[in-house]
Amino acid sequence: MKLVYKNIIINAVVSVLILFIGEFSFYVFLKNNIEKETIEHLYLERYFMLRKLAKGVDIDYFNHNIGDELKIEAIASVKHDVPVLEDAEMEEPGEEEYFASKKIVFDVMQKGKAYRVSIIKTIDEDEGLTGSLAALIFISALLMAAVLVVINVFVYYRLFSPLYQLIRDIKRFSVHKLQKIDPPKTTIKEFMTLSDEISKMSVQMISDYTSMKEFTENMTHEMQTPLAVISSKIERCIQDKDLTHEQAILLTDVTKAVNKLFSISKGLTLLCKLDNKQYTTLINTDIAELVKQRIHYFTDFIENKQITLTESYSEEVSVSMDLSLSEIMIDNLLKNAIQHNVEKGRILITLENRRLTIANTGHATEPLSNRNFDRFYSHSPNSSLGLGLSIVKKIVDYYGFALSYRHEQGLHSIAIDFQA
Amino acid sequence: MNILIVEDEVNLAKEIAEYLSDFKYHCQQAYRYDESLRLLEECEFAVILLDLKLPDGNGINLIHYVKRKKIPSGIIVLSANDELDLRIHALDAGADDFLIKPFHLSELNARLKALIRRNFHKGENVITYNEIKVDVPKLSVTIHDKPILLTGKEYDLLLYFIANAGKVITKDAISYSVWNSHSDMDVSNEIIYTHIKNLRKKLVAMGCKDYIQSVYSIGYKFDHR
Repeated sequence: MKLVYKNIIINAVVSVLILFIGEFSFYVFLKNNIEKETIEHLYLERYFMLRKLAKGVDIDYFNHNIGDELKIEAIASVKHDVPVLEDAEMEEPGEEEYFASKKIVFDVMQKGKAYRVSIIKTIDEDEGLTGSLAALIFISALLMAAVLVVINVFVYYRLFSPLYQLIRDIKRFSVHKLQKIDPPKTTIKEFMTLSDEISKMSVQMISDYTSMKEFTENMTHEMQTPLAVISSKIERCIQDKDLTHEQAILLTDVTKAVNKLFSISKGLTLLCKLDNKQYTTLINTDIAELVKQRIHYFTDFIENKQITLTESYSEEVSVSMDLSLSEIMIDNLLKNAIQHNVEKGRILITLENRRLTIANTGHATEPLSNRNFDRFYSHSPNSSLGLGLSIVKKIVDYYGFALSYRHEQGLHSIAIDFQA
Repeated sequence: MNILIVEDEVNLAKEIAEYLSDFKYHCQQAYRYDESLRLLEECEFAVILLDLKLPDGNGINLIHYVKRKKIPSGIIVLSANDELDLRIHALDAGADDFLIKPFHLSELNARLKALIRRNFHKGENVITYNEIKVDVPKLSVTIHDKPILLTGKEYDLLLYFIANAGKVITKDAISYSVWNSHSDMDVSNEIIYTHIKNLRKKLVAMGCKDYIQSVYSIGYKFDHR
């Protein structure tokens, strides 16, 4: 969730809560006050009435002169000396509505006769006022809240624009473009610190990357050239007509060691480049097509071990990859499936549900696990370096695919999931 | 035929020159960029073997120079860097071939010969070795003028052997050149053996002399004894 929305939601929830509580207390307070006023008014009327009665005003006079609903009835004797207050309801003339009212009942003596007087006064006409007042306040508060939210959004975007700019820059930042992040212009101290630090980090990253790249390049060059010298010297040695069998064996061993060194340097350079994200060229690759094409190069090896190869491609899967990386990935998987296979074994290649599985028969006792994907982990002594599968793993990770290994029914299977 | 070797590693340049001189190539060596420019002014070279990383300049610039001056030499790049981009860059600039270090001298020799054949014998690209004739554009081989049917791999092997006739070729070099560098496969020796055995059988059956000799455990030699 965006910071600004989070903030607005918190603000809105809090203000709505406060608004409701405020409204409610305002309403209760107002209503109580009005009720109190009404009751006071009723007492006051009783007071005036008693005073007028004391002055000898006829009781009938009140029937015409008290505005509120008044009822006077003759009774046998005075019972309620003290006035009684009770809730009542009053019918609006012409409308079938009842309004909450207060009624005061008291007995009086006039010219030797006892009367019961009850005065009713609605709280309601005032209550209508309470309602509209509350509504008015509610609406203006709501309006204010809405305006606040709008203002908040604007201020936020303005205030936080350097932050958003920075986020955009970080997203766009890629170390191999060798372009540092420029801190956005801002006067806010926190943002200034943040963007300065990030800018510094980007500079550091670029310089690390550059030196790493230089190191990789140097290593390849520095190592490859002496290796080339060694192998050329060996080639000359073996041309010697007086070469003995022992010497030939020695030279073969040296050649093997040189080849191993060469593949190590080549493999490590590749892993290094992958770590450095130095592969940026993307080509749409049809996986089925690629596998078929690469298998071609291994036909002799497959035939030599008398391996039965079964291929099934049930769908077309196209992924964006660097050409050489996709070839290396498939080659290493095929190589692995052939190297660790048994004579007259099987290789099953399936492509379905965007998943490429290469399964092969092999020695069941081999301790296989995810360690297979570790650098230099090699479980059979006759095999080449343990780099092959870790290179596959790196390439798979590089493009966000998933690599998995399973061993069931005597088949070792490695699968790559090309997510949609 | 003159060959210019532009390579800052003196030892490597020397070995290349030594190997190629056995095939009647006259090699001159330049260890620096400016040296190579001077040599290019002085004489004409059929092929330039060019290392891209020189102490005083980039080999790519030399390719541009050769193309700009319309020097008719072929160029084979020798590079320690196997990045695809670089390869494309070099070939775009006008290099004819690209070889990654470390390479086998026999491989370099085979490529060099192929390039010379393409550049200087355009009309008729036929390799002859005594009774063997290989018509490269047609991919056909005749023994005593009778056609012989070879598989793709056998054809590649034969071509490679003839190019390096008289030299011992390691199994590694053969596997690299003919089997596309899957030399780290542990079965490669057996496969090479099988294919060479088949090739020998086919050649001998056609009345060809058995030129292919096995040299201890290290490799093979194509030679008239």
